[in-house]
Amino acid sequence: MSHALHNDTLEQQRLLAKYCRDGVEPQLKDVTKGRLHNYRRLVFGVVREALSITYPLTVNLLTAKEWTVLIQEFFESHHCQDPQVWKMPFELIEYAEKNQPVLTKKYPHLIELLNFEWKEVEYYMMPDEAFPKESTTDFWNERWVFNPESEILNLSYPLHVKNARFISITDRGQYFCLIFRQPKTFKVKFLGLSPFFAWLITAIQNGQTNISDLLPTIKLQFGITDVEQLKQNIHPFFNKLCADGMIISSK
Amino acid sequence: MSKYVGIGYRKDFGSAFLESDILDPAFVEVAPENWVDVGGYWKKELSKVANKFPIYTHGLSLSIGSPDPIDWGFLKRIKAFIQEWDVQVYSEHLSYSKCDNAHIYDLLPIPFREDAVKHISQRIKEVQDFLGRKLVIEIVSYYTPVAAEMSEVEFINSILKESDCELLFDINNIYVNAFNHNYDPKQFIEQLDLSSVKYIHMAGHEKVSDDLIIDTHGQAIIDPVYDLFEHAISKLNEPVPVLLERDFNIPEMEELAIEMNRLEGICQKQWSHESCIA
Ligand SMILES: [Fe+2]
Repeated sequence: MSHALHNDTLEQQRLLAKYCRDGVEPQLKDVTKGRLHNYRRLVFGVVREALSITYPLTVNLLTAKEWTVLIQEFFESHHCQDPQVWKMPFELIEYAEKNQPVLTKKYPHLIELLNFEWKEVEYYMMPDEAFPKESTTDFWNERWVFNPESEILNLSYPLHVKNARFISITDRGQYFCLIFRQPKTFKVKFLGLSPFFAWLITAIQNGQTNISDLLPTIKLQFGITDVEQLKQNIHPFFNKLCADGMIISSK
Repeated sequence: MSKYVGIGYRKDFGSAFLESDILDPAFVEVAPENWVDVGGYWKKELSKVANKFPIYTHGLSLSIGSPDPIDWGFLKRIKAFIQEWDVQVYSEHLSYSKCDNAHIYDLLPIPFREDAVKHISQRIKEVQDFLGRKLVIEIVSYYTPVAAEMSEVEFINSILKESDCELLFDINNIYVNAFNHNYDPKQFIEQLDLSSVKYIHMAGHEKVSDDLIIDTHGQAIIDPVYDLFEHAISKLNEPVPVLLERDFNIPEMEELAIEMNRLEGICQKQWSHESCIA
């Protein structure tokens, strides 16, 4: 900190900033009567907008009052760290997880929902990854070359298929959802995966291998014996991933 | 094509901005905070924009007037952005937007005080050294002074003098401030050190009560602000780029074109004998 700033000036600046965060009117020197509230209003308007745009499903899940209280408490007690306002909403997730026990109890899928919504923003906006030069033609004997702008989300609630308002603790389970940014359109796609396909993608990716080589493991782990049937199941899935830009194919 | 007048590039313009020539600005301005580390669709759009127009930037989070330390890590990314996009101007606000290690995401008024002048001037010099270029600092609109011990114009002039930075002359902000704090904008301009002016902003605002204007950038520029603009640029020694800012309530491009043409006309009238800027 520069030594030039006197304590009193520093204090005045802090009081104004604190007021913008908590809305409790401070004792500031020589302010024009009736004007200060504009700062709190404008600041909180920016914060509310950034959060509401990022988390529309959460806004829809919570009551209006719950949402407002959540974001007020967040902005007041959390020290927002990101200089880019569109990235700030990410900080709400950890804050809510650590500081909102009542809400997370009432909505057991709240944190996962926030994460899920943030993923869409993150994928839409993230810096471009270098795409591999190679591609896949033969779905059985070649390694599938994946879009690097992708990941498999391992969910406890079916957020990708069911309205969050109708999800309850009874939906708890294991769900897989593929998220990726399409290379041509730059749109973010979510695709529900069966446990088998989630496993398959991960195995190909991690093992740098192809399905033909994975066959013994598939037989062992999934008890699949009918190879022709397996081919018939995987082929349309492969084609869909190629068409959607999740697999880089030469077709 | 405009010689002097640029426009704030908004994502709301969509692809029509590039596909039509309704708007033909001399340059476009972006807030680097909205574009740093961005890939995908918007990066591609920005490259198209940058291929067509010179890029100016208007930062939001430097918080030059903050008691908190400067975020050198973020400034490094701004510097990289400036290099990547061949940015012509890096401007920022004479305000603070971070305090007690928390971003506020809006522009708060700094106490007009001597110690703040020293503090800010020192920081501007450090930023200029780091970036290897002058900072163009904007006079912001404000709704109340806080703990002032000198006048606003003394405060700004002292910083310009001590920091050797350049001035972003926002005519609408001066109009708004003069209205809100009951002073004469022309007299304010008379007292301001205009030799540092390198860039001008023009915008609309919203009068919310008999004695208060909020600087929304959500409406068209009003006639008295055009008049003040004409008066202000007549006081400058040389032409400078002029930006039309429109951040909210974005109208059809034809409407923005009318505003840009009107500004361009005033500039041409004043500066037609001078060379163009962009
Ligand atoms: Fe401005």
